[in-house]
Amino acid sequence: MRLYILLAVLFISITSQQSFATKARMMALSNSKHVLDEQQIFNNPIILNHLEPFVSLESGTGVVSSTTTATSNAEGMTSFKMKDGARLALSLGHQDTHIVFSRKFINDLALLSFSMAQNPVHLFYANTDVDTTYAFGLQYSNYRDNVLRTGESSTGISFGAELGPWQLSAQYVLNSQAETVLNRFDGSGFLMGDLQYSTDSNNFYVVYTSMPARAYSTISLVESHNLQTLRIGLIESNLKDGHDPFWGAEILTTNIECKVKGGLNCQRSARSVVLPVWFGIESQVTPWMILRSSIKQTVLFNQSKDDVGYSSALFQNGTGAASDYVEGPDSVQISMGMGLDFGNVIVDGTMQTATTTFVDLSNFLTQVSLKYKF
Amino acid sequence: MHLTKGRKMKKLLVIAVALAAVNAEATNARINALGNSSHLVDTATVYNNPADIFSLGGDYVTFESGATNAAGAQQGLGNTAEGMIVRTMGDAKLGLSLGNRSTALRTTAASAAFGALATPAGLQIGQQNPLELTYGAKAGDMSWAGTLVYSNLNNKVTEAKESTMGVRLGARAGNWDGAVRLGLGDTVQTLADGKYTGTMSLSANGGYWMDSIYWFGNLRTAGYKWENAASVEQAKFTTTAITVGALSSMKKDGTEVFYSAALTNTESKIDDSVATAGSKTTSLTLPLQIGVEAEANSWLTLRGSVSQNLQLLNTTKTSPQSGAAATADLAPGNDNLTFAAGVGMKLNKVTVDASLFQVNGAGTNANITTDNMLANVGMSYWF
Repeated sequence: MRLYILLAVLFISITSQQSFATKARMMALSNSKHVLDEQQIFNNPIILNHLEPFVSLESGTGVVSSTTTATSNAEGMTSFKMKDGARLALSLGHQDTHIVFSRKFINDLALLSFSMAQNPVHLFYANTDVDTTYAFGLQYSNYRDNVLRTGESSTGISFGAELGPWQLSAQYVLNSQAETVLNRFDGSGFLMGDLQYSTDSNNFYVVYTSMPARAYSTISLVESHNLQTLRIGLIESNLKDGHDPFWGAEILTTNIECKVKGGLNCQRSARSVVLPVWFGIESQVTPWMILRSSIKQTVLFNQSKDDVGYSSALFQNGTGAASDYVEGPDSVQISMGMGLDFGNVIVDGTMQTATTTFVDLSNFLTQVSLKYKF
Repeated sequence: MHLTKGRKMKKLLVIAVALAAVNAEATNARINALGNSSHLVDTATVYNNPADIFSLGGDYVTFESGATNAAGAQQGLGNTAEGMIVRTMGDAKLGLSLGNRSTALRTTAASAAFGALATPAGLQIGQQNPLELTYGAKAGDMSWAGTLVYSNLNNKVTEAKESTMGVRLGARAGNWDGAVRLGLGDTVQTLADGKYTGTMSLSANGGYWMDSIYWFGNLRTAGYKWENAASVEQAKFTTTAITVGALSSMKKDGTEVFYSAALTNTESKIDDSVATAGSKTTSLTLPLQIGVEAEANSWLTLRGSVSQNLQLLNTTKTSPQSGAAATADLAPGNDNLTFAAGVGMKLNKVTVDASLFQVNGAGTNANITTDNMLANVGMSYWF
C-alpha cells in the first residue's frame, strides 16, 4: 500500500522552477543557505524581490494548535507585485524560529509552560532603487487570557539590502513576552546579522545571532541565559539544466552563558565549535517531478564543553549533564523529498525528515506544501 | 540520413532506453534486494572495493536512508543514513563519504556473540560521525583505489570514547577484481563499563569472470576483547570465515538472472575468562542463491532474491573449551531462508531504489509489513 502511495505521489506533476520552494523543500535540502525559497524571507526579506508573486500553504504536524506547543506549524503566505515594481508579502501562522526557540529553551530547562506566538502575522515590503534592493519586515503576535492570566506578545523587525553580489540582512526582536500565573518570560533583544557574498556558483556567508532568554517568578529572576552563535560558511552550487548538486561546509561556534538557573547564580557556560559538512542534490528528473536529497554531518572538528548540563534539544552535543567532548557524538542527518508540478501549482513533500535516518509511514509526507504562482 | 517515422521512433526509443540504462547502478537498497550477491557492482559495493568507483559510469552523489524503527540508532549499532560523493579530478577520482558504518569494523560487536557475552550496553555503540576519504586512479586497463576510514568520540567528563581507523584497497581490471580491508583500530571505552578493543581485522575478497561464470572467494578474520573497569579481561572473541563459490549470470533484454552456490567455513572462539566460559563454534554451510533483476520498462526495475543453505551440508557445532559435551550440534541446521525484493526507478539523472521487503529465517512471515517496506531507500544522482 505504501508503495502504491509512493508511486501515486510520484506520478503527480510538478514544475520544477527551482526558485520556488517551501518548508518541505528546505528540509529536503538540509536548509542550505544557497536555496532561493520563500521560507528564507523570514530571515532575509530581500529574497522577496527574487520571487514572482505566489501563494503558499504549508501543512503542520499532527498536533492541534495550542498555546504551549509550537502550534500545528501550519502556515500560509502570499505575495503581490505593486505597480511601481515593489513587492508586498503577508504571512499567517509562521512561527519565528528564534522566538519559538527562546521560549522552548526556557520551557524545557525550567519545566515551565510559556505560550508560543499565537496567530502570528508577518508583513514584508521590498523595492529596488537604482542598483540597490532593500526590504523591510514586521512581525507581530498577541494573546491574552484574562481569566487564567496567561498571555504572550511579540514584535520584531527585519531589514535587508542587496548591492551586486553582496547581501546584508538583520533581524531584531523588539518584544517577546509571555506569562503564566506564576511566571513571566522575556526574550526581547534577539539580534541576527547576516552578510552574504554570492557568485554564480558560490555563496560565502557570515551569520551572527544573539538570543537572550529570561524567566521571572513573582518575586525574582529564576532563569537567565544568553545564546550566541557565529556561522562562517561556504557553499558551492552548480545549477545547470534543472539539476543542482551542491556541497557546503561551515564553522559553527555556539556559546551559551548561564547567569541564573533555577533561581540561583550560575556563572557557567556551554561552548562548542563544530564543522558540519553537507552535500545534496535537487534534480528535475521529468518536466513534472523534482527529487531532492541531502546529507549533513559534523566532521573532524566537533568540540564542545558544557559546564551547565543542557539537553541535546538546547545545545548541540548536549547530554543533560556536564560534558567535555574532544570529539562529539554522531550527528548524521539525511533528508529526502520530492516536488510535483501542475502548471502554476506546485506540491512539495518530504519523504523523510531530518530528525530521523529512515523512511517509513511516520515520516512520509510529514511536511507538505502547496504553492500557486500567479 | 533521412529516417522514416518508424525508424525515428525506434531511434528515440533506443536513446531513451540508453539514457535510462546509464543509471542502473544504485544503492544498499538494490544490494539488499539482490541478496548481497558477490558479483554486483554498485555505489554500495564501493565500500567493499573502492575501485568500483571507476565501474559505475561516471561521477555521482548517493544517499541512503538508515534502518527502519531505528530510534536511537545513531548511538547504537544499527546502520545510520549515509551519503557519498565521487568526483573526477584530472586522471583520478576523489570520494567523500559521510555516515557509513564500516562492516569490517566492529562487526563482531553487532553479532549475536557480542550480546551473548553480556558485553555492557554502554560499549555497544556504533561509529560516531564516520568519515571516509577515497582516492583512485587508472593504470591502463586496471583501476585501483584506496579509502581511509575514521571515526572518533571523546567525552572527557564521562570518559566515554569511541574510535575507529581503517584502510581499504581495491583493484578491478578486465575479468578480475580484488579488495582488502584492514581494521587498524577499533575501541569503545566508558568509565563504568570498561573497554572494548577490536583486534586488527582483515577481510579480503576476489573474483574472476570466466564467460558467464563468476568464481569468488572471501576471507574474514576479526575479534575483540572486553575488559571491565578494573582492566580485568571479561571476554575474548575471535572469528575466521572463508568462503569460495561460483555464480552463473544470464543477461538478456535488460534482465539478469543469477544462481550461485558457495562453501563457507566459519570458526569462532570464545576464550575462557573470569566472566565467560570458553567455547568454540565451527560451521560448514553451502548457501544457495537465486536472484533476478528485471527492467519492467524504461524507468522501472524490479528485483528480488532468495537464499538458503543446502541441507546436505549445513552443520554447526559449539563445544566448550573444557572438553564437555557439545552445547549445540546442528546437523543439518534449521531454516535460514532469506527473501528480499526491491524496486528501482530510473528518472533522468536520478535513480531511486527502495526495498520492498526482506524476511529472514524460520518463524517469520514472508509477507509485506510496514516494518520491512522501504526499510532501505537510496537515491543517486549521476553527473
